[in-house]
Amino acid sequence: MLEPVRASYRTGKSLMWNRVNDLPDFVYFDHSIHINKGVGCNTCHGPVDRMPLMFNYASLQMEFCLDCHRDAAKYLRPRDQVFNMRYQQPSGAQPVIYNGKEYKDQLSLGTDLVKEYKLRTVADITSCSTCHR
Amino acid sequence: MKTQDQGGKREEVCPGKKGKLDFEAARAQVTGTTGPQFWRSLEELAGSPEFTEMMHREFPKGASEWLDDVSRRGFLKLMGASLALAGMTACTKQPLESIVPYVEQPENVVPGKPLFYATAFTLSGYATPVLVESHMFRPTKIEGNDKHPASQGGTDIFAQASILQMYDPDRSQTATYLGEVRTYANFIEAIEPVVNEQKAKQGIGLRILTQTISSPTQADQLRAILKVFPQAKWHVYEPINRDNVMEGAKLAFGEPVETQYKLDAADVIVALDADFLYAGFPGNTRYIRDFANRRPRFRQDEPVVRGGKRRQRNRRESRSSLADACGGR
Repeated sequence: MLEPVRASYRTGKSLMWNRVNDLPDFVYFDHSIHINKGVGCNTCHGPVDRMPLMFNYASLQMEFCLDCHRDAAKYLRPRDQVFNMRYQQPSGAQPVIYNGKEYKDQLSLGTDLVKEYKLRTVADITSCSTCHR
Repeated sequence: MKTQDQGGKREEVCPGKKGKLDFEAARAQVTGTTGPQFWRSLEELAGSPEFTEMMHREFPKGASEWLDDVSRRGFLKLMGASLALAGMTACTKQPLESIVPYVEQPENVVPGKPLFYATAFTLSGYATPVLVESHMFRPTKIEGNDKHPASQGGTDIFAQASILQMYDPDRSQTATYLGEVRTYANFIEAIEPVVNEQKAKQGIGLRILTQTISSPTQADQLRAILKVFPQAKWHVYEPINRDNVMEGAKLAFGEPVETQYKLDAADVIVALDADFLYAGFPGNTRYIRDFANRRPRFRQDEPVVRGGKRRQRNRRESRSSLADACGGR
């Protein structure tokens, strides 16, 4: 299975990977801000740990991004859970404990996280020049 | 002329001769006016009805009918329709891009993080130490090298602009022959018979023209060439040069020497046609820093008393006419 990698090492030719999650070139996207503000990996990339072959989980069209930018409380999660592929949003049956407080639904957790992680206002992050620089 | 009914209003689809812009008349009208008036074209300034007519024609027919306030959203919707027809949307699947990693990653490279290289920018043979910010080996920004005493973090405009030399479209990327791309091997092939011919003649027909070379290695290489071709000549030409400065040095010191100034030790500076603060003056980045360090610093906690005796502060300059003396040409 790893023969292409070995062949690449032998011949010195790079492996050409097909880009799956791709945004148009006129869009500016920075991963670091999303990771630091509590957007989980599988929120946008889907359950990659269970993908034998990578596929597009989200459409990555502008409406997909705006959906969260307009109300981040719907999707935020604690920073230490960002890389957790099996993270579930808090529910009555499975509450999430953050900062000593127990949360039973996403909106209350999200609202607190928005304040705690100092997200900018909705007007700020939905302004055109945020992404179309 | 064809006309078309549009909600009760007759509108001309194909604009005829009348109503066309008369540029000469518009220009004549404009030349009479004065004052700062911001306008995009002569006709707009002239405010002629013909221009308004032309503006209408620019947009889809429906827009001309929009007589009341056009909401931005509505306008974009309309424009969006025509743009979509032109095929400029990103709604469809993105064209296939590849991610191509290094097989052997060069050391210290983290994709996405810039690397800074300490190097020198030369102008007429004078070198200014700079730091070049390089993204994946593409130089993007030049800043001064703050660890180097000759730069101390500063650059002049020529150093800043030199980044564009890398991306100058007129700069030849390959060897060319009569405008056609050739390899370097082709160049060697072409030049070899000429060189061999000259070797036999001791290089009597060979002339080398360069700009000021201050690199010891390059000078060495050229001297080695001259050893092989003793009769050849090496010409150095610099259009904006310091030949007069060298002449002056010869008068003052008997030999052409490069003078370096210790401006931090100067109380008064008289500069005659030697603007050491200006870009291109050798060492100006150092001189600017030294000059600035000598100026009196106004501390925030000490109030400046106006119209009275100033409090005695530790002033390192005896005369504030320093600025005047230095600006004099």
